[in-house]
Amino acid sequence: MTMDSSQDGRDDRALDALFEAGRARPPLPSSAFLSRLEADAVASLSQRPVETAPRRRGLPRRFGFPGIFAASGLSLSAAAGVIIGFASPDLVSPYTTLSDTGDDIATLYTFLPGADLAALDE
Amino acid sequence: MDGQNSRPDAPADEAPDAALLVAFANGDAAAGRDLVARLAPRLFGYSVRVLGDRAEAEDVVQETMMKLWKVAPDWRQGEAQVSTWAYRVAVNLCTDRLRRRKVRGQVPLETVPEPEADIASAVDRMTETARADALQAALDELPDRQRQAVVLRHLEGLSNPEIAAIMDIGVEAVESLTARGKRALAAILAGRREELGYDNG
Repeated sequence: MTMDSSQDGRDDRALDALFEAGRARPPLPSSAFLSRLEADAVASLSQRPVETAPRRRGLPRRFGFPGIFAASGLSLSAAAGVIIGFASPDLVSPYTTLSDTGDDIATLYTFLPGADLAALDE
Repeated sequence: MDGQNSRPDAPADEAPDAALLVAFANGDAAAGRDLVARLAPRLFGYSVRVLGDRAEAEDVVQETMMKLWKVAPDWRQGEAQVSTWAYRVAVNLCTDRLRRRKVRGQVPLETVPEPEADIASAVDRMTETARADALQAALDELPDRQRQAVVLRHLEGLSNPEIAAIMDIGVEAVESLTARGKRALAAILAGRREELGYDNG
């Protein structure tokens, strides 16, 4: 063993003794500081935002309500029925049979374009 | 990194830090208090030794813990050790403060002398308190990175791979920093041999 390595070994032992002393006497936080940290932890829990359902994607709510279209269609159909009833009561009377006269067919096509005459005639 | 406690003295049946953090994220305040008791003293010890200032060390620890509470809801077990994550944050905060000091010219750093003489091996005549004080005084003179590595390795008792993860460097770089740090400490203490009661045993 050389002089240098022997000295290095003694230096290492001296440093190890200092490190051991340092580990035995670590700087300790005050209890007041630890209490402050605990209070921070509790406060962070209470400040956390409440979990809510994620927002809907796509159209805004007023456009995304499907019933509005159903309601609109139903109202339109009812209005059409009332108009037909006033304009040509014979067409919708259960006691009237559909004739093949030009007037009846023209009236029918006015209010029910694309109607199947054969089906109505049965 | 498996999310287990990194403390060698931790009881086997003690809940891992990560489990406590998840419990805290789910509203368990007691788990948060347990984490404070486990982590804060270690982070404080490290910060005081690196910064040499208790008030600044408290700021660092408080900021680190606040960051931990903030990430708690998103913490995924198994990805990292809570203590490693916390040390890493504290190390970075300390580094920022040391850099700001340099800019302001508060503390003369990077002025470690080359080894002047050998130091003797015997420190028997020194009291434990005197040894601890001498060590802190010598640490204060080390370059920042060497001081951080030496404190983490020899005072906090972390492994080289843990320190590498904390300091975001390779294991070889850690070994180099700690070796140079120890040599520098020996050089600093050599100049105080008589004062500290070393002999030439």
